[in-house]
Formats: sequence, structure tokens, C-alpha cells
Amino acid sequence: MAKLKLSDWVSNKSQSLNTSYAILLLIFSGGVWVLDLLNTWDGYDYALINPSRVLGVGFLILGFIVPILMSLVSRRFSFREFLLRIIYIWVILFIIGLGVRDFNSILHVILSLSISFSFANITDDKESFYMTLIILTLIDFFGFYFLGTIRSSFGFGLDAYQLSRIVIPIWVYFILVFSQQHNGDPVFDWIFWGLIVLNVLLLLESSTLHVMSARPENLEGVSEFWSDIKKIPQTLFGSLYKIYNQAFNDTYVDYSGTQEQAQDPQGVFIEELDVGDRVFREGSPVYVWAKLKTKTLDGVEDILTVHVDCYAETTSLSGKTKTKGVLDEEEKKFSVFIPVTSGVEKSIPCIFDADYGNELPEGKYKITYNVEFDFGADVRKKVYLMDRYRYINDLEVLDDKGLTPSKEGVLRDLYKIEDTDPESIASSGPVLLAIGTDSVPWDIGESESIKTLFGLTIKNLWESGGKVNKVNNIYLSVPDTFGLSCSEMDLSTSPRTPEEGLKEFKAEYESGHEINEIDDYRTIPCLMNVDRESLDSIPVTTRFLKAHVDYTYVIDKTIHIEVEEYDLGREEEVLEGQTDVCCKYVSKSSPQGDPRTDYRWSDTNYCESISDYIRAYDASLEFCEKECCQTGSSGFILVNDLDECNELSPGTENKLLESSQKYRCES
Amino acid sequence: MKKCLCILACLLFISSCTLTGTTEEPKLERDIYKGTQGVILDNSKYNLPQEVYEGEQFTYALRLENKGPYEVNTARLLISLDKGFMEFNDGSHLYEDNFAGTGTILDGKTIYYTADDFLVKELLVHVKELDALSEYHDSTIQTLFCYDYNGIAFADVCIDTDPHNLKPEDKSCTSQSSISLSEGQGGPVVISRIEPRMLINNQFLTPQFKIYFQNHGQGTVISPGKVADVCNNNALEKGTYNTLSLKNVEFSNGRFKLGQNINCIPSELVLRNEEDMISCTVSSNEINRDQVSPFMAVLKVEYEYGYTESSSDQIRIKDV
Repeated sequence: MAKLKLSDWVSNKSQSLNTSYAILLLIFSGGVWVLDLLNTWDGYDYALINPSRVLGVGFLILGFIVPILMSLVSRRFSFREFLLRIIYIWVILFIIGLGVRDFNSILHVILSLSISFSFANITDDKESFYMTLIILTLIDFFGFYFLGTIRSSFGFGLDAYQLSRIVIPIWVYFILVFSQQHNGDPVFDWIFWGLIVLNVLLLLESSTLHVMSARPENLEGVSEFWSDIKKIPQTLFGSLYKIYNQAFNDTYVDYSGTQEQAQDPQGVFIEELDVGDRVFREGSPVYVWAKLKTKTLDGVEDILTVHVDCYAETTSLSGKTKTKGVLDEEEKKFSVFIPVTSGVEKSIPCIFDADYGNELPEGKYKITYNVEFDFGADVRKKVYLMDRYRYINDLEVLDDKGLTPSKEGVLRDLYKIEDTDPESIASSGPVLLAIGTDSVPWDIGESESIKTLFGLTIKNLWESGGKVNKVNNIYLSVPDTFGLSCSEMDLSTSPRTPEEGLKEFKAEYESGHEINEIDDYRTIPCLMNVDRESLDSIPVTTRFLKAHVDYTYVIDKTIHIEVEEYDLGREEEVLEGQTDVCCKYVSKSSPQGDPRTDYRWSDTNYCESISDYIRAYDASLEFCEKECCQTGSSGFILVNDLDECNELSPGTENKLLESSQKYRCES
Repeated sequence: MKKCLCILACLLFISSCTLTGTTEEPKLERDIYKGTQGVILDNSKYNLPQEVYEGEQFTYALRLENKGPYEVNTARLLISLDKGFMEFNDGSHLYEDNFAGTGTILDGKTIYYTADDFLVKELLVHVKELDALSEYHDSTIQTLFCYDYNGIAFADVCIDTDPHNLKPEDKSCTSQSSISLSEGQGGPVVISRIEPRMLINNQFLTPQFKIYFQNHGQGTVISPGKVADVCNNNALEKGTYNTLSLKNVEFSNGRFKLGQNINCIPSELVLRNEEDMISCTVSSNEINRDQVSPFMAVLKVEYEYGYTESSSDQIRIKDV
């Protein structure tokens, strides 16, 4: 068939466009588009187009191919058409001549040629067709890359991802439009308009689009995008599975509840990550700081010990690479246990340096802090109990009154109890506990007790920033006249002292079935035994169910940095003897215990060496050019000289500080 | 002859006086039997705190005020706290007070003393510690008060022996189709109206009164004498709720009285949609139309019932 197509292409014979063939081509072009996404192929850098290559391919065509073609096709084409065909061949050969770099490039060449062979003889307007083919092929290989640089070059225009091949799959559109015109099957219309809608949605939802951009520097975004795409069937079937199980399996029920509305929720928080206002270069240390904060009800009396580690991650075509960071410079530890006082911020560094063997080469990195801590949560739920026949009497009274006989009506209309469906209320924190029960009031008969539900849901509330790593202890408390049994867990008397009027059980899974990670939620179903002994001498008895869970939680926070290539030009400048870098030296503790800080002019190499210093890095020039003036007793301002210092805050005693105290002017 | 005529006139005069029934109750006294409130529960005057701290104490004060003219001597008060969060001085979360047992009485209004009698219950409440990780808890104080009460209604009715105006002489009154008693009788259960009808049976008049009862309050009507059962967790006998008891219907100074020559149906008053109606009819052959002229009488209706009032208050317990 290919031979036939080639022969037709040469002989310029027209045919009709077969639907199946067009769809096949459509699938092929769609497949190529998907592969572009997967492999982040974005064409060739137009910088590759240089005169020598253009000329080389041109001579190749003129010298060999044109004469052959002319002998084959003479008198079958118009001059314009012939020229356009030659230009098209030249473009293809030129692209091949640049060096077919990878599998995607080959596919794009094949795709362009396939379209040419398939459609050229179907259309009557061959000149326009070849013109279009030439333009599309050039755009495909060079245009997107070029368009992506417009904004960065000129400072305005659409973002790269808005002009990418993701939004404009040109070959797919071309095939669809051509098929609409030359086949007329409505399926091409449907696909065309469907694609238009998708593209419009993508343009509107620019965050997704940004992730989907096929720029090489957004490899991580693309990788994440495909991870999310792969999760869709998982999520969809997972949801169906969950719905099915919620109907038939108690462990999948998600009991709802609320947390106490606290202005300052409890927990451990990574407030922010900071890299300071500096540029990281290859060969120099990378410093990141995390501000950690905890909040508990005991306030400053409470010290929480957290486990911290950090790492730098980068994505390349060969995969992801992780490098652990150092958190304790003295002992060179990659993970530490840190005591953090409630309400007090603690700054924790993460260092990547050749001295620790974890230097970061040039590239883009995602720095992640992981913080693990032990915490707890409480939950309570109010329940109402009534005598069964009294409850029936009350329902009848409501009917007699012309009101709707219902559980809510009995509580609200007869006994003025507004909270007719009490919610489960949990303490604040990253984990939400919720107790699920049968609807209240529970009606208890004369002789037999009732079995009623007690379900405990442990839910991860901070899904986007953490997860439950392990559930350590579960305690369930019921009124002392209730019985409790759980199908999947062993209950034993709690070692803790129970509250008066309650009895507490410790619930444990069998060995090997403990609750470890919880990304979303887990539910523990139990049953209670309630008899008349639980009733007070009042129509509606109120009781509380409680639970407490101890767990280990992990939170993470990330920041993106870039380590730039070492500037050869600058090194050359330094070698020429320039010392125009203002360098801040922070030495190890002096005998007095305070770190010594100096600002001095130096060259780049020297500034970045840390042979006997904790760190040294580029500082703002003014710290070397100016002096630090102390005004009165609390003000610190950079000034040019002593005269300028004395002019500040007249009436107060001002003085210039020595260079080791210049850091006071940093704030 | 003249003497006979004089004696006859005197006899007639005396007998008509008896049948017309001068006003039995002084009008002044009837004024106290008005209103639609019985005993109300009120703690708004006593500044119940909206927030308390764990470990703290506060006073829960409740005012029971008798707005009606009837004495309350059978009553039961229940106050329930959230067990485990608050308790009374005796360590219990439930407070009970039986009026009968303690001899507590709430007097009704009289013409000599029109102020509302009241009683203030002051209870010390201890707030317990919250759970270790809990910052606050919204706790509820639930109150239930059950009491026996009464009602007395007075209505000026016209016993019209000539309802169709057949006789030529002027009548002292004309029968009314409905007498509104919307002001109430000094309790939550009221007689809202009375509809008199004059039934004629040959020469005899049979007055009939349709009496409409209504629960005007927010609480629930219970059968009298059931206070201890209702203010408890017991199952209740049929007819405990929404049942009143008619004690007496009379007019003409007791000449016509329930159980003697007045019969009422149905025998039991059961409120449906907070209303009920009873029809009381004077026995036949009691009033001869030819002998008695139309006259005004005061119809007195007495009834008794029990009532329940409930309320709840919320307090936030905060962590220290």
C-alpha cells in the first residue's frame, strides 16, 4: 500500500479519503502527541538553524534529488506546486540533517510524511496543501520552542504553556479539519469540537496547563501530571469500591463530625521555608531554613519532641534523584530529634555541602522537610436515652398535638432540647476523630437491653500536607452502665484512670493488623449494650461517649530552588584579580560563645570557601561599603560615616559598631 | 281577692328571682380568673453565665412564678446537667424537688393579693475538668416542671325561653350564638368560647352549652394527678397526655348543676390538635317556657388538669 501511495504521490493521482484510514492517522497523531507529553519532547531549538547546515542540505537537494524528481514528475505538476514539494522535501531533509535526536523526532518526521503521502492526492488545491504542510512541519519542530521564548525575550505575551503543543496539537487538528472537508463523516466533527472544548477548558484552568507544559524545565510537573492521570481510574474505581463498601462494610463508613473551632489549632506546623535572598551556585553550599512551631493546650509548659529530616529531589529523563540534607552541622546528622516548646518558633537548617558529601550539582531541586511527631486527639458525642414506651407515648402526644411524630419532635417540641442530633466534636489538630451512633433518642425496653452502634472514624484532616504514620493507642469510653464489644479488635481495661461515671477500654488490633498509614480515614465499628439501668429518673437521659487516640503524624513542606552553573566568566574576572564581592563570614563560636561575623571584600572563590568557617556567602554590597550605626540603645542603621551617624536621632548617644557587630544592622 | 293577687304576685316575684339567678360571684372576684399563663419558668433575671471555666462554680437560679389564681401544691421539678461535665453540690447531675413532699406551695392570686407568687431555686453547680485536649464544651442544663392546675370560667348566658320571639312582650335578654372567653381563665388551658343553644321540647326549654377548650401554652397538658408519673422516665398509661377533667358546670346559683340536672358528653376531655369541645345539656322538663321569662345567668365551668413546662439553657465550659 505504501508503494501504491508513493506512486500516487508521484503521479499526482487523486483519490477519496477513506474514513478508516483517516481515523488511523488520527490515532497515530494522537499517539505521537501523548508520547510528546510523556517524553517532554518540544521540538528543536531554533538556534540549531545555522547557515552552514542550511546550505549543506540545500546543496544535497539541488545536486541529487531535484534532477531525479524532475525526471519523474515533469509535466505532471505546475511550477509552484513543484517548488513547494521541493521545499517540503528540503525541510524534511534539513530536519533529518540536524540529527534525529530521539524516537519522538523520528515519529514526527514519519507523521509529517504520512500526512503528505495520504492527503496530497486527495486535495485538489495541492499548492495550499504543501504550503500548509511546510508551515506545520516547521512549527512542529521549531515554532513551539520559539513561541515559548517570546515572553521571556520580550517581557510580554502569552506564557509558554499557553502556546505549547499541549494546547495546540497541530497535526491532530489538521487531520480533523482535512477529514471534515474531504470525508464528511460526522465523527470527525464530534472529535474536533470535543478537542476545542478541552483546549478551552485547559486554557481557563491555567494551573493544570502549567503542569502539563512540555517544557524540559517542567519535567517534574509533567511527571506529576501523568501520576495524577494514572490515579484517575484508581480514584474512580476506588470511589465506586468505597461506595459499595460503605453500604455493606462498617469499616468503610466515614462517620462525620466537627472539630472545636479554635483560633489557634493544635499541632505541629512548618510555618515557612526560606532560602534567603541569594543565588546558589554549583560548588557552593546550599542552605534552607524551616520555621517550626507547635501548639498545645499546655502552652509554654509543653515541649514536644519532633523528628526532622530533609532532602533535595530532582527529576531528569533518567528518573528522580534524592539527596539527604544535613540538619545538625556539629554532628553532621541527616535526621534529628528536636524539642520544640509550644508557641515558640524554632529555626531548623537543611544544608547541602561538599563537606558533608551531599553537594548539589547544577539543576532545579525540590527541597522537602519531613517532620514526624507524636500527638493525640479526643472526641465526645452526646446521646439521649428514653424508656421505649414513654417514647411511644411521646410520639402519640405529638400526633395528638398535630405535630409530626418524630425523634426530633419528641426532643425539641416536648422537652425543648434544641440539639436533637448531637454532632461528634473532636479536639483540634491534624487528625479528626468522629463517633458514629444510631440516631437518638435510643429507646430502651422493659426487660431486654438494646445493641447500638459505636463507630470511631480516624480521619486525616491535613491531607494535602501530611498523613498519619501510625496509630499508637486507641481508648474508647462509655458510661459505666454500658457494655462494649468490637468485632475486629481486642478490648481490655484501660491502664488510664477513667473519668467518674465512665469506663474506658483500650482497643488493640491483633498483631500484624495494626493501623499504620492513614492517608484518608479508617473506621472501627463497635457495638454497645444498653439497658434500663442507664436511665435517669427524667424522661430524656443524657450521656456521653468518648474516645482518645494517640498517633504519629508526618507533615512535609517543600520549596523549589535552582543551583546555577558556576559562572566561568566571573571566575575569569576573579582570576584577573578583582575583589568586588562583599562577603559575610560567620565563624564558629568564639571563646565567648557568640558566633563571630565579619564583612569584608573578597573574590568569589575565597568568599565561597568555608575551610574554617560555618558559612560565608555573598552579602549585600552596602555591608562592606558602609558602617553600622547604633542610635541610642536600640536602633541600628547603615551609614556612610560617623558624621551621618551622629545626625541620626539627635540628643541620643550614637556610635559606629566594629565590623564583627555589623550583623546588627541586618534587620 | 286583692290579697290573693298580692300573694300571687309576690310568689311570682320570688320564683323569678330564683330562676333568673342573680350573679353568684361578685364581678370583682371574677376579674382574677383571667390570663393564659399558669406557672412559668424564668432564669433570665439571674444572669446565668454564658461561659464558665473548668473547675469553677456558679449558681443556677430558676424562678417559678405562678401567674394564675390557682394554688400549686402538687408539682415536681427536675433539673438535669450533662453528666461528667457539671454536678450539683451533692455530686449528682440530677436535681429533683417534689412540692408535695416538701410542703412547697405556690399561692394563686386573690382579689386581696394580686401579685404573682413565686419561688426561686438557687443551686450551686460545680464545673468539672474538660478532657486534656479539649478547649471548650457547650453544656446543656435541662429543666422540666410538672404541676396540677385548675381553671374556672364565668360566662353571662341568656336563658332565652322565647328563642323564636313568639311572645309579644319584651325580653330581658336574647340568646347569644357564641360567647368569647379569649382573655383566658388564668392558666395555659383556657375555655376559648361557649356556644349556648336553646332547645325546645314542647313547652319545656333545654339549654345546651358547647364549651371549647384550648391549650394556649407552650407546654403539654397531662391528666391531673399524674405529675409524678410524667416527670419521670416511666411509661405512661393511656390517657395521661392531653386529658382534662371537668369538675363542675352550673348556673343559677347551683340550681342547675353537673351531675344533677346537667349532663355533659363526651365524658372525657381529650385534646386533639390542642383543642377539644364538650357539650353540656340541661335535663328536660326543668324550665317551663310558659312560666319562665328569658333571664340572664352566670354559667360557671370548673376544670382541672396537669401541665408540663420545659426549658434548656446552654453554657460554654472553657479550658483554663
